[in-house]
Amino acid sequence: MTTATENLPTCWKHFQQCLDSGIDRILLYGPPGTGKTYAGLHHGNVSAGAFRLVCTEDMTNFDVTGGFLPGPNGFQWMFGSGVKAWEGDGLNGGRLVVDEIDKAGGDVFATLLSILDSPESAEWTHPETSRTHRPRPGFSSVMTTNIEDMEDLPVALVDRFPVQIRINEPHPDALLALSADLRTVARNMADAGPRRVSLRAFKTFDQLRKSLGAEDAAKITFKDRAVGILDAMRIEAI
Amino acid sequence: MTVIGTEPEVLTRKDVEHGRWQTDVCAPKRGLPHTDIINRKIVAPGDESAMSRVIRAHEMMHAKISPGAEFKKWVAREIASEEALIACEELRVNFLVGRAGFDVMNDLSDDGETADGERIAMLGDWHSAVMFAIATAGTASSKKYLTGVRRCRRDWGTHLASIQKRAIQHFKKIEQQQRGWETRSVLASTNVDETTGLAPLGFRYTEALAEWIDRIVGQAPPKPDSEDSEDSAGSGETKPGETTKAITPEEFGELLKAKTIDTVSSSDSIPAWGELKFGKVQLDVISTGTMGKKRVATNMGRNPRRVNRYLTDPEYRIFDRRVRARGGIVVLDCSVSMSFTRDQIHTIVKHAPGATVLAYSWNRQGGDNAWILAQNGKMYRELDNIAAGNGVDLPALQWAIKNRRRNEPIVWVSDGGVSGIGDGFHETLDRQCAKYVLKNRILCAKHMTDAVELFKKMATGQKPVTTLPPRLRSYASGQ
Repeated sequence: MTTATENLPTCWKHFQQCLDSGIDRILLYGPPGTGKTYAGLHHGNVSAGAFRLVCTEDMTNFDVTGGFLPGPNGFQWMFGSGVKAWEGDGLNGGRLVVDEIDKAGGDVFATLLSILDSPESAEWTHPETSRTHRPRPGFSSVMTTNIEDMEDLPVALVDRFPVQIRINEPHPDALLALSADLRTVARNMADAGPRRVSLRAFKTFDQLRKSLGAEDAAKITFKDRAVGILDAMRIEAI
Repeated sequence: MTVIGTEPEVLTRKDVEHGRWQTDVCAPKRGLPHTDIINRKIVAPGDESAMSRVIRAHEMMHAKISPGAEFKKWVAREIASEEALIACEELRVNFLVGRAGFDVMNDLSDDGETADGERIAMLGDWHSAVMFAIATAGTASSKKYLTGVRRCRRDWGTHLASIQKRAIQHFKKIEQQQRGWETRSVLASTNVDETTGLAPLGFRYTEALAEWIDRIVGQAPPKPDSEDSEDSAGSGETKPGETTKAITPEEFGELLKAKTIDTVSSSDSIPAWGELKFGKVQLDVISTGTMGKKRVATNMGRNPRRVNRYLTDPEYRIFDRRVRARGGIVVLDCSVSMSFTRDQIHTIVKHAPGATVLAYSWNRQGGDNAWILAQNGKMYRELDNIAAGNGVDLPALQWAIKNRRRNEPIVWVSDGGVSGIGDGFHETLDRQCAKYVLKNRILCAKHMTDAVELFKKMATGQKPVTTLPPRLRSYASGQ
């Protein structure tokens, strides 16, 4: 991270302060495309590894705890992201980043609840070796969701993440990838409600305009809103 | 048909937190598009025409730079009227929309301006004529509006065009003075002024222009000449309270040209008066004598002002007579430029018996800056050293007007070297103070000797005549 904590926008400052204080369960929510997952995977101490889990309705516990997969020597057990994060580098626990947990099916959700339980209660037994796995010291988890109202999430899950931060603008480091004139605009539009334009869209526009010019690039990227957005950018630049 | 919306969320301001906006579409007709900065609502046309595009840009520029809730504070400063502030803000917005690359000179017009100009000129409404001219200056509307005005009042067309030119020049000049390292226009600044807390900072250029516009509209226009007035008999008549002296259109033009816009430097903070903070002074010396006057009922006279007493007063005292009494307010400028000694202050207070004496002097440390040295027949005995800056000249005079009973005289002892917060001199403050003194017929004395002489005259019943302090005298004619 290149931006000093004191210069960060409030939401990102809170996130950084929580990580620095050793908080190991953080829920980041808010509009998509603001860099929540990136921050979960890279910010704070992730020296023991960061493991991502993208939840869908069709996913199984294979992605969380693991399962048997055929290999050259027959079936072998492959660990899922949840247990990998528990184990970390073998000495210290790693970071589990769970995206869109609200989209997980019932059985996966139940397994995730036990994975994300407090270290004293969390455990899982390997079906082949019968070894009991527990989160190693330093295990942390960052959960991300686009749900705006926390009441829409299950109580048991919210209870495991007492720190909930609404990320309403992209991280300044993520904005550095854009040309200087687009950074403020991209930041403003990240939380513009129904008129939201993602950081990714601005990155595409930035790339396209170098070869096509601003108008054509805007038409391709922003479609019907191209004229409105370009005009607003001219006003903003005054 | 594709509806092109406005995108106000793209815009950033330093004085207002960024947030989501509500947008709506309307017809491209004067009066329909609008921007509500407080409730974050913007209404603008959504079609693809060039005119609608410029109107959308105009509304977004309002969202970007115009004051929202702060507008009331700007009006409350009483430097410029609300109407003039609104008209001049239209000009600032249009000027900056042009700077952003939109063709306001050709596209910003709804074609109804010629009729508007004709109607206003026909009514002889100089005030509305100037306001409309300023609001449309530098746009396609302007030419059409002036055409309409010229149909009824040819000379007005010339004057209005000249006013528009000078107003636009005012903004151009500010841009030219902008320092090289400032990449964004100071005219569009939304910073918060550190001294006064007012925002957006760019609006001060609107205020300076609006103050000038108020002086322009205050100048009564000449009556239409015979050639112009054939179709508009009676139009352009002098309104009540305006000067009845006949002037020619040429003289009128010269009078307008003599009125200049106050300079505003981008490096200065917004000129403003300090807040009056009263310090406690013990009033324990009885002061005998009177300077003021009051009316009492009598049974002799010419004007029966108290007819009601005919029924209630057994002695039928239905007339008035004036007797000497306590009264009058003396406002004493105790700034360094006045260099009052304690004895001099004491002499002034002693010679204003029965009057309320308010001394003021700006305290840079933010402490007390006003002290009542005499009130209700009592005066001070001991006084700490109070000489410092000015800072609160106008608030002190306003306090006097607010606390005056009936028409008791108010005397301001000052050299006219008025200044605002931080003791900064500014012609806007000078002018505001001069206007206030003239409007409220405040008597002026430039130092102790003049004050004492004035009090003596008043005590003997002579009608005092005074002029503005030398430094403020140039503002007396409203230039």
